[in-house]
Amino acid sequence: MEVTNLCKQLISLAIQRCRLSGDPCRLSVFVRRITNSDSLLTQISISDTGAGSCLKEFQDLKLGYNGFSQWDGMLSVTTTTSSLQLLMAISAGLGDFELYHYKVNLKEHAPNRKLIKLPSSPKKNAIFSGTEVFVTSAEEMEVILQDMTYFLRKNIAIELVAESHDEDGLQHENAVLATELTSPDSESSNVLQLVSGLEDYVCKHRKLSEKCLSCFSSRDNLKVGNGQACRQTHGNDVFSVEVVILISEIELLDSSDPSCLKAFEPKTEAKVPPLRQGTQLETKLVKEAISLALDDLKERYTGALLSDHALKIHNHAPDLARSIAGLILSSDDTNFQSECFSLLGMHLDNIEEEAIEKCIKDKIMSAIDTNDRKPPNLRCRAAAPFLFGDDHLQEPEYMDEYDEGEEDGCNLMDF
Amino acid sequence: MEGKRSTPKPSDLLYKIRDFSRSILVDICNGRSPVVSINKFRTYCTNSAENCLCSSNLPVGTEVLTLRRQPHAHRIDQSIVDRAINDICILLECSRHNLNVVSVAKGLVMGWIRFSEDGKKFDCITNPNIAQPVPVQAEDVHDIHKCNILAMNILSFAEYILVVEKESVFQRLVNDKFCSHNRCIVITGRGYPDVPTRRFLRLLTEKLHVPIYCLVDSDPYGFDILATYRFGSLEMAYDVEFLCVPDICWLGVFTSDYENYAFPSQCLLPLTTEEYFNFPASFVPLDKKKIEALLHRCYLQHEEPHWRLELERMQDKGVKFEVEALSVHSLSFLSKEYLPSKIQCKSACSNLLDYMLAFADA
Repeated sequence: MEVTNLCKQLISLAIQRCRLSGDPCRLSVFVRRITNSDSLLTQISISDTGAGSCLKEFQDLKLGYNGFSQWDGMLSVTTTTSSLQLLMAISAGLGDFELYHYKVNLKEHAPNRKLIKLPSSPKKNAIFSGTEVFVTSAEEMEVILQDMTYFLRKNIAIELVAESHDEDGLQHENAVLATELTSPDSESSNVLQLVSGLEDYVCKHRKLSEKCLSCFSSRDNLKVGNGQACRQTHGNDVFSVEVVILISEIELLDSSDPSCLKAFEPKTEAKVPPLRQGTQLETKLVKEAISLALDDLKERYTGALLSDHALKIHNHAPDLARSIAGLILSSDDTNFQSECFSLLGMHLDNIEEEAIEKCIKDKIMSAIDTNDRKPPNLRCRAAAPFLFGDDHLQEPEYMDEYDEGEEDGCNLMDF
Repeated sequence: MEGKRSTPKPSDLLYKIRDFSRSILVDICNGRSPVVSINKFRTYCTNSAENCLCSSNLPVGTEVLTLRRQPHAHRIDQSIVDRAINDICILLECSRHNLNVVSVAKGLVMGWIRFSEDGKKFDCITNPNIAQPVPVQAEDVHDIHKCNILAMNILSFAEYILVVEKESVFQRLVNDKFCSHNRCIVITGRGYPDVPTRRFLRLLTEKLHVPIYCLVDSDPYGFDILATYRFGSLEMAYDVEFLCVPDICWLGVFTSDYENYAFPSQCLLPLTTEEYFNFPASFVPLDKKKIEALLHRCYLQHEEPHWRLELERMQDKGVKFEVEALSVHSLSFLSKEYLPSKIQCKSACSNLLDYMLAFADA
């Protein structure tokens, strides 16, 4: 349903703001029944005490086109201040005294959406920061509540409260108990929590409410890599991007449910929040973090994510191994043969041609994989050794296959 | 010639092969991608500067092969195999025949020569007008006897080697019994000469020390074939000192012959410019473009400037013609008139030069 889809996005934005703040935060989701003229409406409000709200995020929310039957498309936002404004206010010696109100019509196409600024109101209490977002829908409250319970995060204390009026006054009813903080490791970084969350997401085939045990009885067939890139700009601003890449190879085991593979077709997904400011620096950082995450994957799992070149060369490894084995075995020089066998770690007795070929092939593949992991802009500057101590020493020309440096202005998803 | 490579012994080659295999294995077992450097050679460049190294036998660069490179070949064909064999020869510093890699020779030889190959005797003396195939393993050729019927005439300059471009011209000489009337050896490569033919010719010049004359069509391809005999080919550039014949003399046919021998104009063909001549899987460059490319080769500036003049004349006139045009007057014009007169003229000039040099030294 469109409203709950929207609420999912709003909650994830709220969680981001909470994570950014670094301090323990509170995220509350209220679902209220309100009357407006004759009609009974449901109002959902999502409020958090996080920091650094970015108004552009609200303009960029993604929606389908068929969800406006029950909802007029209006979103109301109240926020204390953006991080930039806060910094400017503090540096100017001003306090943070106002609440800012905005409206945006999400029925309009994303590029045309405008944030309409409403008159601000004074803050009642002292210093706090936070954001509250309101959405009103004609959908039944119970239906909305049912949907919302599917996507609660565990590492932030969340309350989901259903509120309804009656003649006696306000009556609060907890639809979902406030989740306990499931002993989050306060030492564990954002990245590790991101990894944990992503693993959960994948193990639930991206849709289920519980982990699919037939496909993911253990996490052994998940390969995870992560990377983090930071930059400190002028002043104290630190931009930080964390990326987690997870590869899941669901094998068709006897015990796994074939209907899983039918119902949940494998696909590659990129969950990327919109760039907060869309600057070149952000794009570069994201690229760098992705690159580090890929390198981490390759480092942890030999043979994962081989380049196209490496895969092609893999195909030629058996022939190459056969040729080298042939050269060794056809020689009359027993010293040469025993030297080669000892290099390969094989014993002189019981030498079978196939065993030698396999051993050489494995070593070739391993050499390819190892060299595939090296940074792509490594130039071979040293002169390659001449095999027979040749007197003609020429500077070798090594064609670098990878582009050095970064390309500015390319799409985030070009990587 | 500079940098002359000595003929390697089989044991040397085996040693090098073992060494090479061992070094590759060491790299692989240590998780390194093996790197192989192969010298590059060339017979010419299009650089007009004075100091290009093409005439020496020194390498002009290095090619580096590694496992990181994408293999070029998706399908193994002859040219890939040839290139691989050449690379191995460069690496092991030897010629193809040292590795027992030989191909069927397509060249033919006839005349006053006797040789044996692999225990088999080829005797052209009894039948000097019968063609024999050029031996494949030129190193095995023993007992080359130069048979000079006019043995008493030690001043006879009729002893020479004639190289002809095409089999049709060779056949014309067979039919005319050219070798019965001329004490010579005739060889044809049947187009672009292969390695055994060039190797055989080189061997003959080293052993016999007689003049060598070359008869090719007056067109860019004929000239290119002459240049292959004289300077070697790019593919076999690493082995050029064993395959080229530096003393070969361009006998004809020339643009000037057309005027001197009064050929009718139907013998002449224009050099192609607009017309494409496209065979499947091969592209034949146009004549004029070919001449321009030939003129840019450095060896025509430095080593055979008079050849360059002749080529420029061909380009200026814009016409080409074949050796067969000489039959327009009579079928035996080539054997009875043209060749003897040309050869006589060349040998007279050569004698005069020797005489003048001797006179200068005295």
